[in-house]
Amino acid sequence: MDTPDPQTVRPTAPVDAIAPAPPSRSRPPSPWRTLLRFSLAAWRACPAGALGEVALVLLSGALPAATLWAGRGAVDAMAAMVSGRSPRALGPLLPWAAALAALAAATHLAAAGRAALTAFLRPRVGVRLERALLEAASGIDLAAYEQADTFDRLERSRAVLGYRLTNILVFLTEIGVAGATLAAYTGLLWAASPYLALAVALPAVPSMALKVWSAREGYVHDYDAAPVRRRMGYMRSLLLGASPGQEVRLFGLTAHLNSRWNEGHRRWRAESLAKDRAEAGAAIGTTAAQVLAYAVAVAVLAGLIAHGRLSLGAYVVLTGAAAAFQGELEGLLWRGCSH
Amino acid sequence: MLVEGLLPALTFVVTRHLVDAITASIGHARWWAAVAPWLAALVALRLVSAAGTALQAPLTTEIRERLEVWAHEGVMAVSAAADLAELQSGPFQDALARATWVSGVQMVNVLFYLTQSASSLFSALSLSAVLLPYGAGVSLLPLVGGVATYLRENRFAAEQYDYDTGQVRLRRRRDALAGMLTDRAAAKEVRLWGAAGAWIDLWENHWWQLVRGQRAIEVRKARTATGLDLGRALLYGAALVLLLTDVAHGRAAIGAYIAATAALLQLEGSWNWVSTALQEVGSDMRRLRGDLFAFLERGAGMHGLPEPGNGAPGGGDIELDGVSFTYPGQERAALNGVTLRIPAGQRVGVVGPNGAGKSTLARLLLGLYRPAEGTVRVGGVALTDERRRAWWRTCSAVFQDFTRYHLTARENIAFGDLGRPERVAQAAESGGATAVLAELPEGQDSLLGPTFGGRDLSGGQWQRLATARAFMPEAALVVLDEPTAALDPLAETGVYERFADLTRGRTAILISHRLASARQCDRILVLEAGRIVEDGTHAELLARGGLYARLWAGQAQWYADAPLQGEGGM
Repeated sequence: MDTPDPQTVRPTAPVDAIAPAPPSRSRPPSPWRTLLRFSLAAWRACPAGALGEVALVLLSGALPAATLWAGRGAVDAMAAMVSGRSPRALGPLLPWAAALAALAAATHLAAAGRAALTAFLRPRVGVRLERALLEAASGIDLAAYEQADTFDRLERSRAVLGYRLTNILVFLTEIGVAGATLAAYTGLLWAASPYLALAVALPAVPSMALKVWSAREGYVHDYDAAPVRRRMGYMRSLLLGASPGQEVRLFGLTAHLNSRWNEGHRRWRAESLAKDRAEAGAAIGTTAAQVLAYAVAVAVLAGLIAHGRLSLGAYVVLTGAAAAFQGELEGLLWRGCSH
Repeated sequence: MLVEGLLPALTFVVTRHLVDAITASIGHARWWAAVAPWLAALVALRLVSAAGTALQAPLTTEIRERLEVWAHEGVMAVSAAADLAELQSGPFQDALARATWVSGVQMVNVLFYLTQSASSLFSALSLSAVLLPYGAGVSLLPLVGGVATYLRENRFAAEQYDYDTGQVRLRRRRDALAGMLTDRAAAKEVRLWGAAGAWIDLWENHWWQLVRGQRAIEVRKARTATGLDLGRALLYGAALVLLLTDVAHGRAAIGAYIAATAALLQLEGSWNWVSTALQEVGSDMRRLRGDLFAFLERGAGMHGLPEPGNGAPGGGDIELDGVSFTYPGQERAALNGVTLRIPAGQRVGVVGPNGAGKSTLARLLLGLYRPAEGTVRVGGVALTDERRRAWWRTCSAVFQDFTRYHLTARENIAFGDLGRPERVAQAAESGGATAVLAELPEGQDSLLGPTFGGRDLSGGQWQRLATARAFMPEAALVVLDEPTAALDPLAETGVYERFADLTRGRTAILISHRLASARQCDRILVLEAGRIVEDGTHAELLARGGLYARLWAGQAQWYADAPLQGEGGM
């Protein structure tokens, strides 16, 4: 370990950087406020990278609707050929094929660009946040630092800075893309019929309530389980640590400490499974409502086509938008509530 | 998984029929009669998909948790079976860190990618089959993109693994710095010495070193991804042209086109997923093989967990015959050619300067270290690996670097002999810890150490508990390695007053820098640079006028009434 140079020692962060821990089962912190703070951290870490990310997110969000629109052109051109309104030839269809291929290329490139930018931003944001955490930790008053609650909070804070930080960055861009895509789909559906847009969107409300509930339960579960996981970690450190190794061997503590780890793990597993099962049961019900709404939308559109009030191309666009709308909304809710 | 894999192909068939039914119903009053069955089929497929997705979470949790237990048991068994010196070595701790990392996040990844790749592969195969009637090109072109993706990902995964493996030491240093900055034990010194700022700078320096290496890989990845993505788009365009040609020449209906274009996108996505997931599985497998399985295989040549009393030497004289020991990775021997015989029941003091090999000798006598050369015998029986483990059951010790268990006070003492918890009070009395227990709010059941919100103790109080722990078993050999280093003079006197009683009938090794405490031993060994340089009683060693006599004189002057050297001139 290098010896710290006294010349480079700097004042530590404010003492109240880690405030007293909230009681168990408290409300999770506001996700919007957290999102804002995180976005600010990303912006400060690398403004150009953050701007590029926003541009790519908006572009990625617009591409699915544009692809559907190009698909409508191809289908209507084909419908004209089938009905004899235009001659059967490949020529008129080729521009649509070229447009669809170009949109596919743009979609792939935008996704690759987002991945590269995320990999670029992640260490910059990570080092900034973790440095703030280390400065805050070393600035806490010693007496407060020795409280168990402080350790629990530190444990959770450090956990967020690992793979979760990558997840948050990835999901943030995905949430942005899903939001932009949803806006474009809503525009398409609303233009055809506001009722159609509402029929597709309203069944998502129970699903949204479920996601919020699940996220809260997940947070509470993680919060309550932090001491259990920490005890497991402590038992593991005794079992695997270089220093306790001599006593663990001499006094034959392996089986005992291992059983303590297993005891903690059993509790953690039972609680995780109970949460997952409850979510799965509720999810099936809410998804069924969305599927039925989709079926109603498809039936209405089929009826409009049968009565000659809608083209086949429009049908393709609108059913595609309806299906994708629900998929994107599900994804948006899941990501938004999970992170 | 199989059902989920089949759903895209079934959706293709249903969508095609649905669109064709709608097209054929244009202008018909009973249009819904033709459309309704296909619409119902579409709803059923979506419900099955939703149910599958919902049920996946608890199933994944169950498997993930079982895997965690399996990996933990394996890693723990290998570590428990490792020789103490090996466990304490840097390379072992590096390997342990990698195995621990892989057994956590990586195992979950493997599970996720394995199920996803199997499901996507099944989707891709079934979609290729239903698209085959529109031409082999339409069906197989997306596969080309998938193969290219796989090759690219595979190449970078190997590069990433090599990079990660090479940087494990730097990563551990970075994490150790972060650990120190958030560690309770180090908190006092971090604050007192104002070292936080410098350590944080050093930590950040390590972080950026790691990032710079990673960045080079990411840039190359982005370049190849761009070329690959353009190629995939061209292949998609070519497949579209083939489909449109069929429609333009009347060989396919519009319903087929609509369903096929959706299927084509899904097929491309499925192949891409298969490639990525297979590569991820390959990469994770590389880590599993190189880090976790290689670590678990270390245990193959090791012996199982100790069986109490199984083949334990029955006690008797302890002999060291030409014993040498060198710590892993060290050049210089910590103990060099030591030959020694300790009769059963003898109390032996071990003294000597820092780094002389006193604690190493104690660990060899306890059988915690395996001699590099020579033999340790107990009652004439050589301590083989199996016997060493059984020998532990007849030994006890207070180590200089004893462990402070942040558990209850009772456990801190009872850990010395878990089989006889009724001896806790007696052991506490022997170790001088009764007063410590009496001061605790819940006595023996009080939680100690701040890690879980327990009461912290002074260094001396912790040491009394460790001493009590050492007196839990009725051991044939007791090693006391600096047992009073943190005690006040009165407490120290108490320990040494009880030393004779507590070690009566047992072999005892007392390591101490305070020669007055070694004086009461039957015999004193003086170590220097890994060798026994003097051996005798207190009186014999003083009369010899060697190293012991010099050490004694050095300490004795502090307790004499006469002025200390240098005081006369004041």
